[in-house]
Amino acid sequence: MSVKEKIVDDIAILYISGKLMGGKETDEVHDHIKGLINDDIKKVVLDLSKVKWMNSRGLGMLMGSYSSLVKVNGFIKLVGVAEKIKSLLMISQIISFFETYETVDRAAASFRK
Amino acid sequence: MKDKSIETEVQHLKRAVEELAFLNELTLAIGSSFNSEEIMQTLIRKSISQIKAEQGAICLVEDEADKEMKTLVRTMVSHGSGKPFRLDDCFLGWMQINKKSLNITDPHNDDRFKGVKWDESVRSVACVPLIVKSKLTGILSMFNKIKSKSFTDDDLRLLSIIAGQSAQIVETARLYEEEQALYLLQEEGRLAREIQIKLLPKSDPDIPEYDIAGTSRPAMSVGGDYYDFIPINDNRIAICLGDISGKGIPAALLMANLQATVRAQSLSGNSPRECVNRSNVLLYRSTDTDKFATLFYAILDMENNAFCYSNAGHNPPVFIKKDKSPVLLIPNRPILGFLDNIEYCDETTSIEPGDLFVIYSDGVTEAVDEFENEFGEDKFIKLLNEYKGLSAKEIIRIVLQAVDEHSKNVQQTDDITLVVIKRK
Repeated sequence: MSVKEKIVDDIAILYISGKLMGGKETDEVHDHIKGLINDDIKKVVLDLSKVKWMNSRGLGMLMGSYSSLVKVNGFIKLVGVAEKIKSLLMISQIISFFETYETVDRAAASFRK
Repeated sequence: MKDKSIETEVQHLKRAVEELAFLNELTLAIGSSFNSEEIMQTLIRKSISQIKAEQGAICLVEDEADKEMKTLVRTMVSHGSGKPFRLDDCFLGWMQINKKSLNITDPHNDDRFKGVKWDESVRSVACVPLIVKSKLTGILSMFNKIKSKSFTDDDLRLLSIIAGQSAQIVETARLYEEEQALYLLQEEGRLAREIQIKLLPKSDPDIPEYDIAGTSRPAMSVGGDYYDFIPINDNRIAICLGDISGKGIPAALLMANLQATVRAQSLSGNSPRECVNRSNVLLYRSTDTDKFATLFYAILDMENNAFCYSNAGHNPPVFIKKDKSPVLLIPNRPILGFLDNIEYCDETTSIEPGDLFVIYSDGVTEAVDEFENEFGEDKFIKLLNEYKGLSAKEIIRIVLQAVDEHSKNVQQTDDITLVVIKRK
């Protein structure tokens, strides 16, 4: 699993690829976001189009990231959410809290509105 | 002439004996400890004293590819300059390439280390590599030969021998410490498991009209599933099942916390909706951002044969009426601990004789085979439908057997938990 970061103005775009199935690797994403918050970057776009698998632990990471950002008046938006991940978000009833977009550009643009 | 050469020989021999005695003493001293820091301190102290240097240090290199050296230990003897000298990263580079002893007699004018910012009071430096199985594991250095301009060849020779003898001992101590740290981590995981298992029900409820059974099979080192049977009064019993996020001691504590919270809320005679609402607020306030739990909570009213339930982000249980197809109990709300202003809801269903509820954790449906195919919800529901006529315990046994068959060559990575409630 890898996390690639790109900063555009005050928005951090994180490209995640691989599996979000728990463990140290998955925690890395939330830690990365905590690092961004420390550096005062609170708008995060998470590109999940290259995420092959996610389970309840990966979900926990997403929710943790959401909570951390919301606590500092930040926000997280998702891009490229696969069907399986979408259904996980639906079952745990948290899909309504996440905004999902088709592309990174659209997600970033929505921050500027 | 002859006398002079004999005298020189005698001096050499004396020195050799002295060095051997020193090396013997050193090996004994450091061989008796498993504490790598202690070993290195002893090594430096004795070397400084024997070679007569102002300062000494050992830098350890974790990995061959390490660019940064870590100066783990340094011992000063005199307070000549007061400030400890540091070896620049370029020494690591030089040492990794050359892997031999280095005697710097004139540091400020040495071409090899032009870019190094030497401290003014550095007069001479001697470094030798610590090598284990052809890999550079560290550098032993001495600074400022006492009462002399630089270190001699004999000094470097002795230093090399010291390095040769102690490299393995230092490495062994370091590995031992890493192993200890890993062991402690595993112990913590095991302890956390034990705590979690002790929180689970020790037996199934014994109720005349209802057949209720539950089980949880833990996986190693991951966050736990939790289920509980809470008698409220003669006619009502609360049944719940949840999935705690995280692992180790924090997850175990969270489970204990959640169980106590839910039990307290149950006994106050609250409806499932109220119970889950309050449990959510309490959990949210008492944990930090990445601690969550799903919770399916229901009250079985045995007098009125009603099943009232509230779901917080847990996968919907299966409800199979005696002569009908299985359905999922859909109403659901977000997972506990996520936000504190969620409004939970509850639903009530009546239960006829032969009706069956199956509450389960995703360890059942997400169990994978060696090709990463999940057991799946469809297969699970089909299985339940086929064996719905059996007792609760039997149904559980059959499900576990099927899951085991499916994932037979794969280690269990998530807890597998099931609670079956059947009206006789």
